[in-house]
Amino acid sequence: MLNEKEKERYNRHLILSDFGIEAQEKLKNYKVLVVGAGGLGCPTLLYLVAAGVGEIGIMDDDEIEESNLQRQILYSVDDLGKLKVEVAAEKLRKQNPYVNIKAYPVRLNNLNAIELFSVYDLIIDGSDNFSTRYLVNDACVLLNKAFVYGSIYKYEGQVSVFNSRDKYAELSATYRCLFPEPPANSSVLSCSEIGVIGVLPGIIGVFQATEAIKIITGIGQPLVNKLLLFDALTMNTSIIEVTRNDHWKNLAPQNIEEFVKMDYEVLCETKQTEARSYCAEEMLKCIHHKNEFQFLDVREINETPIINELIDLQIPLDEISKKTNLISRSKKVIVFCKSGMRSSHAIKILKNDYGFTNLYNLEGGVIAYLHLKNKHV
Amino acid sequence: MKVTVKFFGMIAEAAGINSVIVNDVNDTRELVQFLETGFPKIAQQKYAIAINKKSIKGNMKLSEGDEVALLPPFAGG
Repeated sequence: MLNEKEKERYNRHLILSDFGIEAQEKLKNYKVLVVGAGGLGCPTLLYLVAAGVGEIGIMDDDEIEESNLQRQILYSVDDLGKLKVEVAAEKLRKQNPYVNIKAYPVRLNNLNAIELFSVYDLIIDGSDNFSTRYLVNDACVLLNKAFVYGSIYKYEGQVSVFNSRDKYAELSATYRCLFPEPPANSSVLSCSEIGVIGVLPGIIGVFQATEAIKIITGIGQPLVNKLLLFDALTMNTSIIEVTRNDHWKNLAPQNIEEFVKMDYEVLCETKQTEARSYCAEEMLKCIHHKNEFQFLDVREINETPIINELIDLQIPLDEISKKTNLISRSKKVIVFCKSGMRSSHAIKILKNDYGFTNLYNLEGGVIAYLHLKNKHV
Repeated sequence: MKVTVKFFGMIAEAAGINSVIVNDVNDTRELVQFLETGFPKIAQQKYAIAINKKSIKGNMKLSEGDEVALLPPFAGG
């Protein structure tokens, strides 16, 4: 129920046709989590707080830098060096004391995503990197939450509502329906490396707030199964139809257990992926903790030598793409062949085409392993 | 047969232009091969493809006058 002060504050909504007190109360009863309090997050937050969303969570672990001030409009010179979420929360509470604002000064990770997303009704992705974007998508898919996507590049922006319901209550397209797997972060530079026109996140962030309000109140047609493209240089906008598909099913975690173990920084190649191999000596130790590993032999079926303690899963290299469902996504998987060549090729395929992040190569293959084992005997 | 191809974001930068008209390609596989040969930098990018403003998956037949868009994901925020 709105009190008298709130009725006065939201008067222009209350008298608006197709909006009114019913829509305003829906806003008041909704909880929205905004991931990222940067270029997109600032305008989204300002308008959602002004609109009277009941509870708003803000998540960001960054501090305010001078170069943020060109577009991150919640912050001023006095705020330099302070945590974004703290400054944002303080200003937004003053702007609208009827909104319950929660600040989370942490970086989104697999565990807090599950914990926090469960508490909120709608997620807004205002992040600035692919690892977070895929993490947000996968968590929302597993938890059945809709999220409002916005992203920017120089003068262009994209907006959509993913993993929602269409008018027939069918699940709508997800981020992975459009972009099944991430480009390497190294091939896509961020705002800090290539620049961005300051007004652009303002426009795209306000579009995201608009979509959030439409979803919450049920007015209009939100960008469900649609991707909006915007170009600030020409003011061209176009809308692309997207349909839900399952081309990404093998690339994404199948359940929360797999999700929690997925390394999104490795997936997006933001973290060093070197040293992903086991030498023969380490391998000798692994066989004593066999239940923590899966051993994947990619040699031909009758290829020798057969090593009893390494018998676990065998898929010859040229069949690997057909049998990926047998390979564990949660355990460490040590892939081996005769010399280490075919196994490293198999890892490349599994990593690039099927999104595996838990694979290790046995250096030197069974030859090196047997050589060392015989020395120990 | 002519189709118009529009490039967005870093794809437009990789191509050096915003759009191009391509002749005599029957489907999107042929089109992608043609574009990645003509503009090799495109091959290093990941992108979604849309025909006449509908995103597609897999190989699709093209018809005279189709407008194809190459849409890369943006990370920035």
